[in-house]
Amino acid sequence: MSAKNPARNPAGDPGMEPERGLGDRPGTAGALTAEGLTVGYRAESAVLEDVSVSVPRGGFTAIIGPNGCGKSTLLRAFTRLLPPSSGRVLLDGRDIAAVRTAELARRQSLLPQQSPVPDGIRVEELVRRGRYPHQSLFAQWTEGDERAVAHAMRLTHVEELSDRLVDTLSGGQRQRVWIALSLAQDTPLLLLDEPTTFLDIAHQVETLRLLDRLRAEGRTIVAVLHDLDHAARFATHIIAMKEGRALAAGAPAEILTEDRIAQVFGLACKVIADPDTGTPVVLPR
Amino acid sequence: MTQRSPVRIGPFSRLVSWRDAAIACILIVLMIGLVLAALSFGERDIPLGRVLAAFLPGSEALDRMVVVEWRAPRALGAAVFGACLGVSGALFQTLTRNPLGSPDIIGLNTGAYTGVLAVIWLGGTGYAAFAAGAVTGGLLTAALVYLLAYSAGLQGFRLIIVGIAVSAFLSSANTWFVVKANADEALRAAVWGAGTLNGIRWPQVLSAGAAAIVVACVLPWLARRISQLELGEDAARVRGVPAEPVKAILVLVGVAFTSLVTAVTGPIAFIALAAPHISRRIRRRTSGFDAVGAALTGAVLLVGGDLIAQHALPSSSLPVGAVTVCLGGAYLIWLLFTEDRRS
Repeated sequence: MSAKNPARNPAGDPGMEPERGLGDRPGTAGALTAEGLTVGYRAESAVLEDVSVSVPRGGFTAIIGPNGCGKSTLLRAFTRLLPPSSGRVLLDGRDIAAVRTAELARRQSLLPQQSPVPDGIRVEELVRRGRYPHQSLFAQWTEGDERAVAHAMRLTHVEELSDRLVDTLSGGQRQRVWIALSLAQDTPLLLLDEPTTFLDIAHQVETLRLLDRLRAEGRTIVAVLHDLDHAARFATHIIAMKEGRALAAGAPAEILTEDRIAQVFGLACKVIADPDTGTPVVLPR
Repeated sequence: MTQRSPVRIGPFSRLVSWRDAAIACILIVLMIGLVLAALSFGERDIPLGRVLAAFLPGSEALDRMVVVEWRAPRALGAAVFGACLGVSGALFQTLTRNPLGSPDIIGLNTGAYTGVLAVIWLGGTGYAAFAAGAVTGGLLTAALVYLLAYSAGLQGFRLIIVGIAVSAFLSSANTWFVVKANADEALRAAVWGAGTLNGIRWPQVLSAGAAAIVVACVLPWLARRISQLELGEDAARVRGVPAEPVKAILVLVGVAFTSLVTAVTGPIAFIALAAPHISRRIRRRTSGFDAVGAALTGAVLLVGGDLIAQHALPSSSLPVGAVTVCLGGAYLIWLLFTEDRRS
């Protein structure tokens, strides 16, 4: 685990330069925006109801809320896995329903909560599979692919694991490998569903520091998080959800207040400032 | 550390594993050796020199007849059919994420048998009618299993369970037919049902081989998408792979490979089940879907199995389907023992 800030996107590594598409307008509207988004798995029960939120570009957005409140559903709607029954999702100002699949795959990546590990696969081979959207039937291992995979493995500190069987890794190592796979996809936008849930505390912090570094490099991060203190410490923007609706969105200090937490989670608590960082710390009472 | 190196020619680029390539070459050499043995051994053993000479113009007529007309189509057919079964098994096992999810387990062979029985019942005779019956039966069974297993997407485990149920149902229908049929019909059904390479001639091998090559053209396209589906469907879809259409194509290709074999030979068990598994054990460092390894292993298994079928008993030749069932049983038991000891 390293606390130091690693080098920013090193020169001579164009493979990892986040792509800037035509629709990109840095500094303006959010990277991802939901407008009046309503989504239901089945017709009878809407899991998202009229959600209008925005994910700031270049920020680390945490989605919080009680179990079953629609956090994962919002992530799936953001990545076009669930079609909205009304409303829409905008990616850099364009309706994602109209974006070509191949282009979408080069602009956003998703790390699901749990992913199956193919039998007998080794770390580097797994990370290489993230290059799919950049490859074709002919070009399956260009120099760009090679650079992107090497860079993704360097950022996540999994180079020394490259020849290990993924099955034999610890939870924290494995999570770094999955993030490396997402990074190899080389998208400006990274979405992660509960990336810290199955990890011990040290590995949780390690994973969040990695995401923080990636944000500092210019990527936009969206993660579903359960731990409010972690959200407070690492996120730059928080979306609080309850029963399929977005209750509030804003900076951590605005969202993580005693009243708001009582409203979202039905939990009485006291919020104090972290003595070192000044970020909110939630103490259940 | 790595035995892989990039190969880049113009717009073409690949990461090549030299170890896998070497293992593929060894399997090819082994297969050629077994094919030559099949050409040489028989009621009349023919030395290797004369076997090769038989293919040249001006060879001895009897050698030519035995080697080129009788033994060669059988041996090459075994290689082609074994390869098809191996790939089919690899496809279904990848789809179901289960080493038991092979086409024979999910009822495709049983369905093909039902199709042939229907042809016999309708009074059909001859190779073409049987082949049509087998292909139709296999495809209808696959469609039935697919539709019954489909519920908000195709799940591998459901496919296996539904396949086993459909297979059991069809199997009892088949038994009922054989019991009810007259002796002649029952005999013809049983002969086909045993799965044999007896009487395979060039026209069958060439037409099945041509069909296999056409279907195989889809594999490079499919393999890239399969390697994404292996990492989870949501992730695959976000990376641009339409999961359900790709799975439907996978089923279609797997069914095509199985039924083009079954149409010619009758059901041959175990190859589709074991070839991908054995191939993975040999290669060890390869993961996931691997069509080349499964195809070569399947070819070696079926050519070897047919050699045993022809020569295991001194007086008569067995149907290769009986040999593969025995080998398969032994392999499964050995596997369960070793897996058990490891865990």
